[in-house]
Amino acid sequence: MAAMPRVYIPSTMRTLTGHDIVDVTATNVREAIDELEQRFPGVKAALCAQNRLMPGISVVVDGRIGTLGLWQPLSEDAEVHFVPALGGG
Amino acid sequence: MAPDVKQRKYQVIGTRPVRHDGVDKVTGRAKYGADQRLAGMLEGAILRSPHAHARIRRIDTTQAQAMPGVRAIVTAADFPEQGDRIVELGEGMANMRHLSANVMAREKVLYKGHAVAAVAADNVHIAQAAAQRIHVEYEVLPAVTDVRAAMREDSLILNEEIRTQAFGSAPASPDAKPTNIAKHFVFELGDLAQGFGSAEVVIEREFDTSTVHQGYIEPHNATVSWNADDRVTVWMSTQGSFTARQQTAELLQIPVSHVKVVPMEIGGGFGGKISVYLPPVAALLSKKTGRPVRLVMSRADVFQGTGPTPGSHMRVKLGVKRDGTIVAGDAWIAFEAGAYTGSPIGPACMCVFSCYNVPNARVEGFDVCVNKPRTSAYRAPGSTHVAFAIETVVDEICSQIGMDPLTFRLKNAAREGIRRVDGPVYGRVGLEETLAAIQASEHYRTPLPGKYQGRGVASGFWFNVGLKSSVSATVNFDGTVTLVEGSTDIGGTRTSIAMQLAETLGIAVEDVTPTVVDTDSVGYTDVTGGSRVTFATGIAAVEAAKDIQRQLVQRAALLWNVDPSAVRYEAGSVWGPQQQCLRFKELAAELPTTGGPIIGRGTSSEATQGGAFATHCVDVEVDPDLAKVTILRYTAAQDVGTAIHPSYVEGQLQGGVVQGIGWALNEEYSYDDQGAMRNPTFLDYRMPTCYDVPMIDTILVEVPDPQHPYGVRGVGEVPICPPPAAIANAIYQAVGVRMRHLPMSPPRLWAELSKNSS
Repeated sequence: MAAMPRVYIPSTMRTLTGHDIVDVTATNVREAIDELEQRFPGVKAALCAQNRLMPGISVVVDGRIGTLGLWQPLSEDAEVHFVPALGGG
Repeated sequence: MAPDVKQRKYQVIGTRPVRHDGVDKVTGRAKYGADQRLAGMLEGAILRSPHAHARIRRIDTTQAQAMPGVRAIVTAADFPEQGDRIVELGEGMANMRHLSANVMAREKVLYKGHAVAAVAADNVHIAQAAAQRIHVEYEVLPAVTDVRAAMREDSLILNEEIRTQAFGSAPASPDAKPTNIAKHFVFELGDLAQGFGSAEVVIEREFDTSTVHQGYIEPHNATVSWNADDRVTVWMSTQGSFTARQQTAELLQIPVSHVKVVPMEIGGGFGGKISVYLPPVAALLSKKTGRPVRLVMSRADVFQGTGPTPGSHMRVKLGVKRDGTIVAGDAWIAFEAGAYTGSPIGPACMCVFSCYNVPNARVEGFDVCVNKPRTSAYRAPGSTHVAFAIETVVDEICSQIGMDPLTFRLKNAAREGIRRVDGPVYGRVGLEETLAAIQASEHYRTPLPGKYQGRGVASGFWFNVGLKSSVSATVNFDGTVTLVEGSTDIGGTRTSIAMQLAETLGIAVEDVTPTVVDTDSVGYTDVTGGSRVTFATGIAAVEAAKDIQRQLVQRAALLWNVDPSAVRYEAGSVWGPQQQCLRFKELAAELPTTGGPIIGRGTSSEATQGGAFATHCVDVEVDPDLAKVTILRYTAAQDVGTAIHPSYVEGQLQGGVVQGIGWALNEEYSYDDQGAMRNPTFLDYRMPTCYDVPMIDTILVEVPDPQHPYGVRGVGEVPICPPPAAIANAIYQAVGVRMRHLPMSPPRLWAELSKNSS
């Protein structure tokens, strides 16, 4: 079976998806969220506001925080996480 | 201990040049915000709430306004309404309604010291006297100052508009019940029940930490001039001139391009000088008077009116096999956000198990509003709290199974490929190297035989962030370079950035003049925080140097009449196809006749850094009669990536450790039952001085971060994480009591010792 981008679902969102990991066919984060929304309505409202990632949420793709938000590209075997945005002191 | 100089592969990086701003600072010529003087400048004062929680019924400024020398008064009524706007501020986000109400209270005051009104007058004495003549009618409400009390269903609510926002959930309905719990996080990994089911030893403990301030030496200040053309200039002490500009513009609802922030020298920040408090107030006073206005906080203002780090309540449970393998971890963490949402509870949840491979884990976190100042970041925000909890539980497990604490940590250490509880997998990190460094240290191998003496170890983690930076670099015709940057210099970053530019160009760092400029004079740059500047602004400087290299190659090709592709830049010189060579300075002298100035530009928007780990070892002695803890010896080992300027790196480690010692042993906001801070001076808020700490020994472990051209990792934050736990573990070894409340001050330690003896 061909590799697919793999989205790790945040714990509090698993009531929507029923899964902790969902494979998608998307080529960027925006498409991944749209695909999740189609399958599990409510996901987009939990992650996005006004066509952007919700303030306070970062997307991590293959271990690196994406700088392109929803436009972050996904490789065929990408691993995607949504985590709290980080700052520092 | 610095890296072996003989093994250095760089010419500039790893050396210890004199800092470029050193002379001005030691001779007193450097200008700080409170030094600012402008023609016609007025002085301001702020009236602050005497109550921790009260409704504002009426504000009467009549008497104050009538005083000779008073020029203007502002209250919240002068500020634009914000609505429920959430704004990204570079590093973190803010609810603008809350940010505005924090700058100047509207319907309610939510902590003692909350700003209520401000005065501009001919001098500060008149302004302060006038502020006291402003009559505020309050309806005093009970103060909610304990995080668990604030979470109860029947608690008095601070902010009626707050609904719990769960991470990864749609915004809560306005019809939901108001609450003090602003945010809720849950992270899960593996199968928790199965994990604990397989455990042979399980320990669960509860912990509390008190509110602690960053304690920067220089109080907040701002001088603002609102010009007749509605352009606003702010001179201030800030960790981030661009975020200060954005906050000021958003709060005043004027275009961000109409605000220029001029960062003055800064006397410490540690996360506390990111939020703005004074610029919008001074701006409105300046607008009303048509004159520049300066506001400077007192120490009491700083303690009571600016953001400390949260107090907390935590519960941590860890399950292990008898052989020391961790099989499960469970953590419950509640942080006091202060008056408005925004504590670092998210990072705290992500950090609690970050030093270990915990295959089955659950972490739940809460951001809870209480009647204390709105909290701010403080060095590795949230990580020190949770390191205190997890690292003392680990120590207790080691005692119970009879395992050396470093061996236990090495067995379970986070390393490349380990999945964190929040999901992502570690890249190349250096925790094991710091553990091995302490294990091999002369300190750890030296016996500590004295009565009432004990040794403790602990580890800590901080992510470090990247964010955005911009620099430009001009090649002067005399062969020097002027480096313009937007990162305010708190810990010697002018020099650490200049060193990276110099290394890339192959020139002496003394030939680079770094300058920190205002927001109109350089590209967007995020805050000096998150241990990011030497990393991210360093990347921008390397890019600028490469840009200069490319342009110099073009000039040399012109001089030699060859194709640029046949010319290369190497080791500070440009080389042609016939081995022609022009050194940097020689070519710089040719610039006027080969096309004029060369300006290199560099930006960085790398969001990810390799995380930083530290392991510390401390020896203490406890006075059994006074319950006073004396630090006898302290060694901090840290993965620093590549130490650009080892002296500054060592200084960051030593500074972080000393702040951690203060947090561990003495520092806390002491509150009365009305929610008033009783110790808002440095006399009563006990920070460590040079009399309280020995020389902090450092071991710089260099595991280069592959995401930086020279392998830099941020170093400024993680050194504050291990000290409280390491000291708690040392106290246990010294006198046999487990301390679970910070600070471990003499009264608290005495109480525990008394329990033991009875």
